[in-house]
Amino acid sequence: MMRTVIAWALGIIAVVFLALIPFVYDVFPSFPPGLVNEYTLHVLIVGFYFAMLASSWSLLMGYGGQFSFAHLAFAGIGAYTTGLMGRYLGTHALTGIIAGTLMAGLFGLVIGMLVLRLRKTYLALFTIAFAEIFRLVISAEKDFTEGPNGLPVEPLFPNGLNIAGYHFDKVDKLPPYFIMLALLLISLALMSWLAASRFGLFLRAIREDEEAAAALGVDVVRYKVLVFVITSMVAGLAGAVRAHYVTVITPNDMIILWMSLVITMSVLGGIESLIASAIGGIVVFVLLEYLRTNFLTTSVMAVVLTVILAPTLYYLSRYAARRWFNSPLKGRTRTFAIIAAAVVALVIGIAVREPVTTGLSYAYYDMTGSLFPETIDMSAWRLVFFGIVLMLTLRFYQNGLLYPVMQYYFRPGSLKETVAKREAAAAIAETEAGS
Amino acid sequence: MSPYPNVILYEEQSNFMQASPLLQEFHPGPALLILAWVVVWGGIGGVVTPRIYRRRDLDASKATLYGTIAGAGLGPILLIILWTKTPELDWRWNVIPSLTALGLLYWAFATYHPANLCVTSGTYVISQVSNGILIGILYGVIAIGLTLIFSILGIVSFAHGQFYMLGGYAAFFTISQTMGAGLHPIIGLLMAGLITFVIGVVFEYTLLRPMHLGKVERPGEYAILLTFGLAFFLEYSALAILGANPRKVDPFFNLGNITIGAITLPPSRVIAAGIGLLILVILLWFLNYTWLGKALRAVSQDKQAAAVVGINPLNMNTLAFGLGAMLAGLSGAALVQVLAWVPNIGALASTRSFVVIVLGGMGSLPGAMIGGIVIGIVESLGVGCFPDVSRALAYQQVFGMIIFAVVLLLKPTGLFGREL
Repeated sequence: MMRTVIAWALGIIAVVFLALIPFVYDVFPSFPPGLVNEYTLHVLIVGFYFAMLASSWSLLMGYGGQFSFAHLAFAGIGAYTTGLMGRYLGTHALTGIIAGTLMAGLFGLVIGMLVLRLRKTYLALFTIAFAEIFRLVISAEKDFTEGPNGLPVEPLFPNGLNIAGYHFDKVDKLPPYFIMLALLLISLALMSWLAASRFGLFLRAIREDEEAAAALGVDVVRYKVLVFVITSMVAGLAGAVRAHYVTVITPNDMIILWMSLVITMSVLGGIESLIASAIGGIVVFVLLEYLRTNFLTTSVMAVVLTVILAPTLYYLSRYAARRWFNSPLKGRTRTFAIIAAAVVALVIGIAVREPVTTGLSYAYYDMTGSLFPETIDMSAWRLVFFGIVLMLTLRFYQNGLLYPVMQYYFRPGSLKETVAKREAAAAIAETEAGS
Repeated sequence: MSPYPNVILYEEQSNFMQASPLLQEFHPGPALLILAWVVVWGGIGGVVTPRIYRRRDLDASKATLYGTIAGAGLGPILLIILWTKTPELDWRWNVIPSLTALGLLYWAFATYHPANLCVTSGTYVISQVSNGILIGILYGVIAIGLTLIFSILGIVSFAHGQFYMLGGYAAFFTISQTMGAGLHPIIGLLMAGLITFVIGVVFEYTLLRPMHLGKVERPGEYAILLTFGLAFFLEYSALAILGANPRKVDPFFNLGNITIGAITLPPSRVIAAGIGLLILVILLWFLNYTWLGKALRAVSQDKQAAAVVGINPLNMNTLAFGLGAMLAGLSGAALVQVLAWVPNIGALASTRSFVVIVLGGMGSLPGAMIGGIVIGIVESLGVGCFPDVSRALAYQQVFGMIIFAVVLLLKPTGLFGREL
């Protein structure tokens, strides 16, 4: 199938592209700033970290249906294990990372066994409590963990790294970049293999109906605990490696905000697909960093006006079509109306952004006595944006934004198959009900 | 990486702390031994007892809870009796071991820090307890909102604390003379209730109703994720619009210091608790004597039967979510005179009200109230009786969380919950 070939080609190109980005930066150290530089690499490295968290969370939640808000806490367990071992025992980074992964797995085992009896809501409450306890204890035990001041961790290669006659400094971004990328790809491959195997099938069976799965011979206890252990080990591994990359860890890496963002990444990508959530993780984190910069109030105003105007115009045109032309909008006319509304809203928004901002700033001055800011600090607004996007995605695109697109390309015909199966099942149910 | 530091109720506690003469000598060893004894025997009792009961084909549903308490309270002595005789478990088996377990914990505490005011001064303990009760009433009111939502809609709203935060801000900007409109506190309370009610109703109507209409796959997860997203959205909207500076208003009414016997109560807390009790009375009147309240209770008992007698369960869902949000908002408005108000105060309140409703039993109104008071007492004793102030403030929430985890594991139905 042509579509499948395109999809695979695109996937391979994306991976090769990610693998080649750093060389551009290395070959042209004076590349135009803002395109490929240390900061870009840093954003991508942390993006890979979040991609690992998001994809393992979607294995736990999307496949297993096990609700956990403690994923960041597991990453924190990995990070603090290696950090504390390096500090008090003087272990090597590699030993620490392995120990951190195992420790996260151990905690996952204990928690997985404790929460076996709990169902969705209770599980969510319990994991949120565990995550908070862990974070609070880490910040309270200042003498041992440095608390909110942050625990210093050794870099991945304290003495630098020599490969093929080229020396990388310990603060160089290239080695951690490739390590993170490789870990992401390996963990994705492993988890995808697991999800495609009988393990994944059993998990989905448990998610849909635990009693039915048990009745059909699935060892519910074993698989529920196992999925907890595996996903928390992936989280612990990601956390431990990230700790060695950023070289300082604080309890603030585990606040609920980051958990919300991991959920956002996973949901936006597609909660039932590991690869989609990983891509969602990278994209959302890059967007987060991009939106961090301050924006001119006038340009933000243009965007806000567009967002408000576009649906208004569309609904107006729909009303007009029904009222005066006596025909509801549908098909091509509807698409045209949507595009036209968006374009007209954008033009109006750009045209009136200055006078609206001026008017608002006068009103603001009258009310508060202080000046309206010329630029808007986006550090909180970007999170508001993602909150809105998360809720809308959950409501209108439950399979995520990316996953349906991926399914369209990778599994052509699956939609038709599903519809056909559903209709057949409905027909059978109808005949049974009739007889 | 946090946008702003956690602000805990530091100002409230510091005046007590200055009064406590802290000795430098600690004897953590014996205290930790006693604690370890309690925890280990409790764990053994909790794990082994149900197995023995199951092996002898007896009812093991209560064995985990009773075994744990027996082990924690009397150690191997009672456990051996339980294991050999395997009596039918009723509440009488709980009385003595729970008392001795509490005694052991107190003993551990007393040996940990012999000069602590909590051990030496009864007045101090009573004043901490009364403070805890006062604030616990408000915790109870917040949790009643959550439990109302749970009993009608069958979901836990993870955005509950954020409604509490919004209520506080609404009251602040209505009441404050310098930053806000400078209106009377009662108008502030009403504004807080109104705003949170409207937001709750709009949210339920637009985003949660489709779930009840069957338009959403996997509704349980949808509800959790959606309310979580709402919490995220509300908290950071507040941060973006209102800023991270702590806000506080003066006490609503000028009462002066209230002294009962040897204890002095801070007036702001007394006012807040009074408002909480007033809200509670109005709520009970509403639930018991109005048509809407009776309809709400009917839906919580049986959706189908309620629908048969002409109550629209969908509208009751919306009303319940709005009311729950309003209760949280009103408590926020009552507490804005007690605590320094920051946008992330809601996260703490959320987790605390989860603790309360799980302790009291999901869906039980008296349970939520009593759970709130218990948590209030535990938190204020926990922070007042801990020798190291900064650590105590951090552990203040941990105590509640530990209770929460233990209750979830041993008796998920809580104190007054319906059997699952």
